[in-house]
Amino acid sequence: MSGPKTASSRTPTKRILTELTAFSSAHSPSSPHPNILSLVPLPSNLLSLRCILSGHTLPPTSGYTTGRWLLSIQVPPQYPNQPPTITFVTKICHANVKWETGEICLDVLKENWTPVLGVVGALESVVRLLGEPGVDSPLNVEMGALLRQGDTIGARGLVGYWCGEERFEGHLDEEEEGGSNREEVRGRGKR
Amino acid sequence: MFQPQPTPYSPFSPYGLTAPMPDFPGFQPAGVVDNGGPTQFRDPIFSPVASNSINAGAPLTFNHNSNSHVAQRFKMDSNDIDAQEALARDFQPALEGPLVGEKRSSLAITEEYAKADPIYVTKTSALPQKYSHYRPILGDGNCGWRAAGFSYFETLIRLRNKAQLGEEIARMKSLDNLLKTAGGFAEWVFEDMAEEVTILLRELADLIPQSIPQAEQVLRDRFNDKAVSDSIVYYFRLLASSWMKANPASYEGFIQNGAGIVKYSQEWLEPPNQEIDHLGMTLLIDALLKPMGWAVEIVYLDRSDGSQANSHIFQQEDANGVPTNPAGPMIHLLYRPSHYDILYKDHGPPITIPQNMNIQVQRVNSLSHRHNIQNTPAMMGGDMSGMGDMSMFSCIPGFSLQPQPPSHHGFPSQYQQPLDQAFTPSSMSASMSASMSPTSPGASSATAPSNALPATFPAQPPPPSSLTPPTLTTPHPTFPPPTTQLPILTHLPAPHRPSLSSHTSLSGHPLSSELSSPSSASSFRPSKYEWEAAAEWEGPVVFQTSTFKNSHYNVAHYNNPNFQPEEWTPESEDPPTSGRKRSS
Repeated sequence: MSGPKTASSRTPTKRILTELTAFSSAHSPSSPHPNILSLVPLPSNLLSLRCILSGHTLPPTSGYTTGRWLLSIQVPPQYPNQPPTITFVTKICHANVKWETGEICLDVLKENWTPVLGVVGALESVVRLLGEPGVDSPLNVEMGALLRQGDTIGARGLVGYWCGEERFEGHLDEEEEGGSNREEVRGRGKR
Repeated sequence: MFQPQPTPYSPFSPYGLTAPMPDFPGFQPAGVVDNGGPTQFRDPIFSPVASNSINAGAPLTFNHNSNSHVAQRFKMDSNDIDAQEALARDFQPALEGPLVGEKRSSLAITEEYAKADPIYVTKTSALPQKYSHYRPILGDGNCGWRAAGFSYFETLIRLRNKAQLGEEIARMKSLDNLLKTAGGFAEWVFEDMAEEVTILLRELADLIPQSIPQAEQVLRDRFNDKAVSDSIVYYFRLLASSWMKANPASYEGFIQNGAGIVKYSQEWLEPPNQEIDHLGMTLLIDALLKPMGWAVEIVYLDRSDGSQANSHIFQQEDANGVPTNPAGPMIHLLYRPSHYDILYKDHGPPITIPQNMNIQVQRVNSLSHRHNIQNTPAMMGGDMSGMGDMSMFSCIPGFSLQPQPPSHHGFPSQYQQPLDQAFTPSSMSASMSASMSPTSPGASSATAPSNALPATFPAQPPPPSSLTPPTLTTPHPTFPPPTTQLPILTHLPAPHRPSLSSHTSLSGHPLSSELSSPSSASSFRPSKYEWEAAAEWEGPVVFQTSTFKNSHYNVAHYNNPNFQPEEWTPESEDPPTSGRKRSS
């Protein structure tokens, strides 16, 4: 009786740990992931993760090449049957990201989620979304409007400006949670 | 009319709450609206929330406008469309009840459809005659996967075979490899889910020797625990996907729109809550159930023509399309468009006996019992008491317990003679066991006509064992092996032996020749399912005894093309009841 109960309750935690282990073993410091610069859980809660994304592999036309963002990942207890909630902590100017909250509108994080993706796969989808914004249901209507009008130069300029303004310069280390928070504060202050 | 596009964004540079206000006083009458509409309403991005807040902020402006009602209505329309679209997008059907429901009478389905389309009424009223019970599964998009998965575990419980559960644990472990290599799934994707399957199997293996109801309870609990249930269901999804990737040639042609194996898997198998389609069900059956030699019958309840729901049986077949394990357990699923439930054929409350497992066991027991009689005449006294319950076969019409002259049995005399000389009861027992060896001559002669008509299947070679002397000396080996399915149940041609004619020549009595035919071994008490099968049996039936001809076991009328069985239909019942109501 107790066996399965513990199994089901530890499922997200255990799975997150294995995912993190797989990620760190596949991407050692010598061969880092091109976009996911770091992915660590909060020391207090394994199901709240932080991650730094870099846009340097994205096409220059997108305007996100110089960007570096801090993201927060909340893993629900029903994970992996339910998707993790990923939000931009660093402000980003993107048609499918809400400016105020950093909420991301992406199908694979909502109704098209599959457990096969995992957290890393979900983050990779977010990076792909940066390069291919969808303008049909924009969360950021100004950006959506610019893109729909075909004003790519204006959009790129705006994106590039905010990438520079809001760029997250901190680093994530498990023991330096305070430090990353400080960086975050500094980043906001700059604005 | 209202045109959502293109949307000019320039007038509202800081797009949102502040800008549209000045435009309201200049709102145009309806005619102008039709010609292009005011800009502020043309924007589909305009969220209902924003529009409402504008509305709340500008009631005065609206009231002063003579056309305010037009504007209001127009606004409402635009909001309605938005709201409806949002509703449709976020629509979640109300899902109530447990993931896997309690078993209940399938009459409930008939009642559910009582007021539906006549085709449904006909089909659902025929359903409970074949399937006594059903188990509703929650329609959350996983119903097909959950129904098949639940049936898998439930059938394992039903079989009560602890060793088989152990084998299944080993098989699941070995399937991990398939998921990794063929499926291409990293181990961390599925290891937790695979573990849930293994844990449940292990739990059931521990419980089965102790208490079947407890094992069933555990299974229901696990499948209604959403975390465990979804994990198991998702494991089966990955299993089906891997199975397809491992055998692409068998399934590629069934994928619609030429999506390809990988895309199909990503779009139909991997997303949780994505309904199972026919190919998915085929994959799951092929990967999970067929390797165990189980069959799955899917009953399709839809509006196609016919008086009964169509059904299709998925089972392991050899190259000629003959089922390799026809006696294996069968799982029944009820399919209604985009939904699966589980059906049961049995009447007994919790435990179903898969097919004729128990009948076989009893038959084997009685055989060994009789074997003792023949070999050790000293035990006759005790065995005669055992004979008592065999005398119940005399209830079967056409069955005779009268001792026959030994020569009529077709047995070699050198075996029979000593018994006859030993003491008189032994001749009785010998003749009894001989005449009893077919055990249900009535049923078999009625439903398996092949032994009466040797010429019907001339191409079929006689099983060699029936011709060897040992089969004649003891009735034991002449019986079909226990694994043989009852011919009536499977619709297979009954094992036919042309050698029968030689039997007949040996014995003058036609009935005894038939009785000694090993092919007539069958169940003692025909269930109504067998009779349904018998109805479908196409072949001439010949009766040799007058007793049987008048028996209600006689199904010869099925061969009459004009035969119309008396059927109860709700419609035929209606006029009298309504008449009664009117009169009262």
